[in-house]
Amino acid sequence: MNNTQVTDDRFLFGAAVGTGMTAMAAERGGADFLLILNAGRLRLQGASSLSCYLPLRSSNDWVIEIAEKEVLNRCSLPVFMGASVCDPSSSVDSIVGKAIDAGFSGMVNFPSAWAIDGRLRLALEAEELGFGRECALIEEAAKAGLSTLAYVTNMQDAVRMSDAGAEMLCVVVGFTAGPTGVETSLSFEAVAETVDDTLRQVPKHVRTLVEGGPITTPEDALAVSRLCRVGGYIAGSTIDRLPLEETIEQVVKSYKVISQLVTPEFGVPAYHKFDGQSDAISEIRSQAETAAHSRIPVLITGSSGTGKTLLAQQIHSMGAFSARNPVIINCNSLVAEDAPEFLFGRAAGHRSRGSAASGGVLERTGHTTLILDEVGNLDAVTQGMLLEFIDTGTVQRLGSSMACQMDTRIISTSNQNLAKMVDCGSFRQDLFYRLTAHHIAIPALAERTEDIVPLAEALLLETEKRRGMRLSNSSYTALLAYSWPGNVRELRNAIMRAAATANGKLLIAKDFAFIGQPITKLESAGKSTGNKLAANIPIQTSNKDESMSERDWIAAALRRHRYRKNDTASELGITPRTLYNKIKKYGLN
Amino acid sequence: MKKLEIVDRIAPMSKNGAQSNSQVRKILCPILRGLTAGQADCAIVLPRENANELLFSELENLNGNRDRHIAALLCADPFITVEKAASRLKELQVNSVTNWPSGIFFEGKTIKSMAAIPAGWQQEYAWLSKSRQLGLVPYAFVLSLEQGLAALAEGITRIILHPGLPHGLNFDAKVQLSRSLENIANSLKQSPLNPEIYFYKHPQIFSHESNAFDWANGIVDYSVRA
Repeated sequence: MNNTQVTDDRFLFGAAVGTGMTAMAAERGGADFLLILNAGRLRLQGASSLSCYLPLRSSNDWVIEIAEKEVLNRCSLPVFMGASVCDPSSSVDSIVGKAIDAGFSGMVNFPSAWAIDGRLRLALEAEELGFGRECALIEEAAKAGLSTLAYVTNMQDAVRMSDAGAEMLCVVVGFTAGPTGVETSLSFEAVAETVDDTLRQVPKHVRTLVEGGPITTPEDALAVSRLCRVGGYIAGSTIDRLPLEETIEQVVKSYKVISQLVTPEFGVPAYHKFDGQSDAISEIRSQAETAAHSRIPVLITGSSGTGKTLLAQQIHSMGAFSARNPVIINCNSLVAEDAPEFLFGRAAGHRSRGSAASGGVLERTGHTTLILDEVGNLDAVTQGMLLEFIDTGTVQRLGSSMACQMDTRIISTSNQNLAKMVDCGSFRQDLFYRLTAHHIAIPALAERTEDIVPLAEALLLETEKRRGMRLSNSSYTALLAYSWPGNVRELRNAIMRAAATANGKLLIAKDFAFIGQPITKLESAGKSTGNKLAANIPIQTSNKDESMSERDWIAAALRRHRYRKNDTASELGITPRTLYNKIKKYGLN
Repeated sequence: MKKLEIVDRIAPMSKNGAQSNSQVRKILCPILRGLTAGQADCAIVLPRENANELLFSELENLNGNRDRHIAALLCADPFITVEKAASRLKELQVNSVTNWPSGIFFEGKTIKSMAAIPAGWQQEYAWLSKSRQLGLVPYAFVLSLEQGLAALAEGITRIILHPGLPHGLNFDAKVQLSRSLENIANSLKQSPLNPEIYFYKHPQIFSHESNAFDWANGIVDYSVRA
């Protein structure tokens, strides 16, 4: 119903809009009333609000057209017509009549002569096209039973409008400043002073609002209302143009940034990312390629830090869905009670009356890969729901009868023994079988020490490419001597830390002295060399000693030949037996 | 002395195909339809219709001697570029243009706020200057010596001197105003650009005077029926 009156004593918020979209959004946001102004339309056409004064279109006809087509039949709030008295051929009676016929519940003087000063303003008044005629319009509207709101800027105009019967007065402190192109030097205190001066002789029963000037946010409006006599705020460009421009700008930037992120991520050959030279890794790469070319579910197991998620992403990047990013769900972070809604979404009104609909993450898995990271941590209910999804390929929002079909590739990872979990009943057997059509197990780094050096080199290149850093022989020794319980992740962190704290471009064993130390100890032991393996292996730490020793010479040869002893011995010109003795002597096992 | 006439519509054709009073050039400004001269001064802040669309629509219906018409354009229209306006005018075989409705009366805070559009006499003269570069002949309405010099600085050599807003002028003030206008015109004539100075004989100020403006190269009359 558009004939609702604005009568209560709450802080009023009026939305001055120029389109149905902004009107409906303002209503949903809780506005108390709407003003349809030609300025609102002009703003959304990219013009300045000030263009409302120009002869670009009949203001009154335009406002009526917007209201009839886009607002009055869609909004239940009181709607005020921004009415102009600029046409001498239109009487105020006829303007009010048109407003009533259209279905407006109120009238406001807009565009108003308040913005025009000097001799042009005097001319407007002399020609009876100015504020005097606006007062006559408001008076006529009040007589006709319309709600009335008047824009005023000074005490004299406020009293005239109040006398004319305006129920509400809005003190305008200039056009809204900021990105609108309008400048203001007014402080909130100056605004408050202007407002109080303007309203000094206005009867208390007249509702008062403020608009414009430096007030561009709700906080600004609140600040001003606390300093002076205003019981509300009218927002124009501060609710449509400014937030809309900002939002659009941010969303467009997001699209651009995302497109830039996706390209390099999936444009690089996948093999280059899962580094390692061991037979085990070669076999894993071979399995990954096979898996990538099929659509069957893959389960990747391995202890923490072995690169399970990375391998899953690489299988995705080699597969049929590589054009889209995979959807990765970290099952560790899923809270049992929230998981169903997070995964499947909810229909409008499901959570509570009036609650909005919300899409679940599975709705984003169409034509891409769903990576379930640490799937062993899913609770029983979510396991069941996921099983249904894998079986049917459909996603049904909670509380909805509609289901949408997804074409999704599933890859799961786990650092737990899912078979054992099935045996003890903590993981569904049927889900286990569906997830493990292809099983890839990644061995711990300690089980493939031949990968440590090439991995370390690759990681250093990846993190410190610009600085041209290198690993010394002594640093190789330190890295090879450690057991890496945190696997590749721990190795990466160690490389990054050493690179960040090293003095030069050559990383030496001393730079890795922190390896294996408890974190609390590390924090206070910058100079310590308390590596548990450093005690067993005579690591040379000075730069002077970085020249090739026999130990380094043998170690480098072993790396080159991937620890094949016969080949290494052949290159070094010694017998395999001698090599074994040297390895034993220098602790290169 | 040359004669110009502000009109809101094309004059009807006579039986032999000639337009009445064809020796007088017309400043065609349909947005002024129904306005007195005093109201016409305020036209830039009267959102009654689309000034430029009305103009083009009227010109499209024009028959006969198109080059006798000067198109009065709202230069502050944010939805039409000078290039587009010039192109349309050329298509319609109209080669002269002027700035009306105009922001020459903006002063005080209005100048500052209207600059956000942007609108105002400086913007209008820049617009007219560009129209000159695009092959049109611009006529600039000016209110003061400052505005006249600004128009000349933009290379506009046809100046229409507006006497100002008519309200509150007594006889003595009119006499003083006449002298002031003559001084402005003579100052502008000093320009090496050898400008043509037209005087807008505002009917609400100079309704009876007939021969007092011989310092002008031409007179502009307001011929819109309110």
